[in-house]
Amino acid sequence: MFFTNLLTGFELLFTPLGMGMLILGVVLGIFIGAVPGMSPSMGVALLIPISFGMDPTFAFILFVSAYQAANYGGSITAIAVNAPGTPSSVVTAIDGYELTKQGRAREALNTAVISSAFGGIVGVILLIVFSASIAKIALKFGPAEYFALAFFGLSTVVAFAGSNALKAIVGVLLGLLVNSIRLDSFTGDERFTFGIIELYDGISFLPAMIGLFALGEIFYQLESYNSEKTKFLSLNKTKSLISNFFNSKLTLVKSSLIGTFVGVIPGAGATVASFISYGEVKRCSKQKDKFGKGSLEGIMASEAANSSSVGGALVPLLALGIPGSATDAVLLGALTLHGLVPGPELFQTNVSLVYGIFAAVLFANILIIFFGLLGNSLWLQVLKIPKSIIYTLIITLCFIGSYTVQNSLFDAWVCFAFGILGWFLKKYKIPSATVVLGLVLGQMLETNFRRSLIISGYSGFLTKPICLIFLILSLFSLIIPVFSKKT
Amino acid sequence: MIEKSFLFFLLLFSVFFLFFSGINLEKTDVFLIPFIYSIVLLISLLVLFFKKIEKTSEESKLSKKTLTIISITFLYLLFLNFYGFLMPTLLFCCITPISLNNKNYFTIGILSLVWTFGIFNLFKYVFQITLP
Repeated sequence: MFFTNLLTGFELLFTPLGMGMLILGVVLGIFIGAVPGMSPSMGVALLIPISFGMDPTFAFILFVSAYQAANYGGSITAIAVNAPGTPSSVVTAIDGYELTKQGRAREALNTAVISSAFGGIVGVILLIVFSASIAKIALKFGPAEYFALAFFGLSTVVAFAGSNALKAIVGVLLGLLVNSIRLDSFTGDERFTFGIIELYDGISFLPAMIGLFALGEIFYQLESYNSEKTKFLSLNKTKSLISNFFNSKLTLVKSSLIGTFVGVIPGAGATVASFISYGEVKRCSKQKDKFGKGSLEGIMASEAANSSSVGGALVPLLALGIPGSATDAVLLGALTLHGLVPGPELFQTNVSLVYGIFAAVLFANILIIFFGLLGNSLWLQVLKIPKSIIYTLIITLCFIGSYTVQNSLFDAWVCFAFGILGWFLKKYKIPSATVVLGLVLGQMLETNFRRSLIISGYSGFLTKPICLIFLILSLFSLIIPVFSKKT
Repeated sequence: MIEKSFLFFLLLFSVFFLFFSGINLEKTDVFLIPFIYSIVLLISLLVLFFKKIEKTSEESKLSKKTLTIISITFLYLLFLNFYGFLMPTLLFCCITPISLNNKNYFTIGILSLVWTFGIFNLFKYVFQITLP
């Protein structure tokens, strides 16, 4: 059954449209990742509007291949000009740029390509293994378990915020409150809608997410904007040392596993995975002193981890309907917009979509090797595009994308309002992803809480073992920041 | 100062939700959950508000460049409501790069034309979505 489903996924991927979407996704993804200021979440959010007329499977082949490739793309500019294209490639820049200064840019770039692809493939293998089995268990979940799961998803974000735990709580609550603006799904009573028809279905996810991740990010980057062009670097033709990988298998495997498992945790994401992996590899390395001064091992640790975190983050999204990262929150919104119900039921109702995603992530990594090794110099050309032009085009795309959700300019205004909110949140270090998680999980949290209350009262939360485990874990997640502060 | 103002705005936001859910709570219990959210948010914000803030010069002021672009974007959206997609987008694509000190007027002009009409036709004929 499993292999038949996987074959269905591959069959869909190998249709002309499937391959077209895969190649387009990888090319756009590398571009998105390479442009400093464009993040994978921003890129995927901007791709959603063009997918409305498409079959959801092909739309998601486009999204996930762009998501995977964007995580790699960030390393190109990080290594070549010390301008990380994505937040997770900040760690890559530490050693990558040092190698560039030593005239070993191509070696560093090739290391990043292979490490990314290796990490990505490990991530997708674990995604295939875990998500199907977790989804099987999750199919037995009732409202109490779903409530506890959503609560756990939100509380882990707080645990991972470290010293910013209070700010993360504020972000989550903002998202939850904004989510409560809608007609009540049980009684149909108006809640904070004040007679505005556009608010009856709640604030649309996509305009809010585009506003927070894309528009807010641009407003924030404009603060440090200067019109000077980035110094362009042409790559010398040094030999690529692919043989390095055979000497560093352990580093790659370890970093990929760290990346996948960190990716599974909601709110942690690629950046946390890169930092943890880099620290761990440095701790165990025989050449600790080389780290920070141009270590290929450092690049491997960072790139393998951030790429494998994509597969990891997709596990809770596909199996449970809980986003593992900011980009997954955008993908969750995209699933809803395509009329699909995220969570374990996807494995029963949309088998081709789920296995199409698996196949796409797997082959996206293979294409990354091809496009990465061949086109490193070409991707660097993105640095020639002036930021003023990039910002302008992205702003127009934000509004077009928001408008196309319901053909309503109201959504464009929602995007604008969330853009300003996103700017302030970023300025004051309240993670935008926390607001999005609150917004996305709010409905799941509230609906299942009330359903469970109707079915079995308050005792329902305490008598069901899975629910109780999640609630205890949530409690720990909320307590961790308090104790970590004291110590 | 700006951080305090932002937190104050968020405080007002939570008080707004607290007030409206509080007065409606007697009529229907659908406001109970937002009521609880807004109380927790209010408490968290109050703690943040009275916490000592580490000031940096970057955070203490609002960037003029950002405010300029926000104003242009606001006008763009307003014109989008009244005049449709083409003209406002064309103007927006010309004005924004210039206001960001890009003096390559010819490139900006050509790019604005190609982008505006390209996107409009792409959505209209390929995606079957008519922009305003």
